[in-house]
Amino acid sequence: MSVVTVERKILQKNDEIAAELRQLFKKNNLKTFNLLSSPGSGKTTLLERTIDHLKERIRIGVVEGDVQTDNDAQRIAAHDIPVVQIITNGGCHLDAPLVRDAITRLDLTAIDILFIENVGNLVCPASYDLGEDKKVVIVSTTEGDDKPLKYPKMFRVANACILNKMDLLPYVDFDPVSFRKNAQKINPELIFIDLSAKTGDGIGAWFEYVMS
Amino acid sequence: MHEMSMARDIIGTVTEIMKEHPGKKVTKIHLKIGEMAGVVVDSLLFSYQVSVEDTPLSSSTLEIETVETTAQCKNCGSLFKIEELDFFCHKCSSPDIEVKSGNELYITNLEIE
Repeated sequence: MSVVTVERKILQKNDEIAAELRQLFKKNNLKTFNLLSSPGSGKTTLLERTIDHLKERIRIGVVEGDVQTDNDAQRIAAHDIPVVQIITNGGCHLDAPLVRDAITRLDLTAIDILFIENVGNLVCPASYDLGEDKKVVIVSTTEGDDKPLKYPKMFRVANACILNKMDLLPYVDFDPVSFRKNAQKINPELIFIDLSAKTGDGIGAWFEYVMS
Repeated sequence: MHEMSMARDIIGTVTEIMKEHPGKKVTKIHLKIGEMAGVVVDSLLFSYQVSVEDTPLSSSTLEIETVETTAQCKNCGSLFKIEELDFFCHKCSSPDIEVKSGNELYITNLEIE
C-alpha cells in the first residue's frame, strides 16, 4: 500500500469556472446577483417588480434556474428583457458550468445587471460559487424565523438578506426581531432589507442596494 | 442532495489522478470536510457508494475527517471554536472575526495498492 498526496478541493472545477465567469462579468462591466431562497419565498415576484421599476434606467438580464418547467422564464420574458432558463432536471442547485453554458445565449454587452435566480433550496446552492458579485438570500414571513439556525451556511455566505411578504406579518407567527438576531449571530455583516414584493412597501431599499 | 454531485466530482478527480498510476487500485480516499461546508457526511458516503459501482474505483471507500469551525478575532486576536453558530468573538464580543477553519472540502490523499 502506498499513499498519494492530493490536497485538491472537491469543488475545484466549479470554482475555476466561477473565477472565469467573474472575469467575464467584470470585462463586460456587469453587476451580478445570485438570488437564493427556499421555494415560494417570492424570488420571481421580486424580480418582476425590480425589472418593472429599473428597466428604464438600467439594462437587466436574468438567468432562471428551475428543476422543471420554464414557467418563471416566461413570467420574466413578459417584461421584455433578455432571459434564459436553466432546467436542472432534478438537480438541486445551479453550478458554474450550467451558468457558463446559459449565458452564451445572452448578449452580455447589452446588459448592466444580471440576476441569477437559483433553484429554490437553502442548502445546496450555498456551496456553489457562480462568479456573482453578491449573494442575496430571500426569506418570507410565511416561513419560520429560525431559518438562519436551520440553514447557517446559506446565511453565512450571503451578503444581503431580504425579508419578503412583510404585508402578511399581522397574520403569521414570524418574529422579525428574533429572525434578525438569529441571522446576525451567524453573519454580523449581513445587510437586511424588509419589504413586500407584492405591495411594494420597503422595496426602495432593495432598488438602492441593487443600484449602489 | 448536492452530495451526489460531489461524489461524482470526487470520482472524476480521482480517476484523473489515477491515470498517473497505471495498474494501481485505489482502496481509500481521504477527505477533509469542514463543519460549515454544508455537507451531510452520511449522504456523501451513501452517494459515493452508489455512484462508484461499475467504475474502476469500485473497490474504494471514503475516509472522512471532519474539521471543526474555528475563528480568530481581528480585534483582540483570540482564537476560538465556533459553537452553536455564534460568530462573535467569545472574549471581546467583536463581530470582526476571521474564520480559520470549518469550510474545508478537500481530497487530501489516496491509499493505493
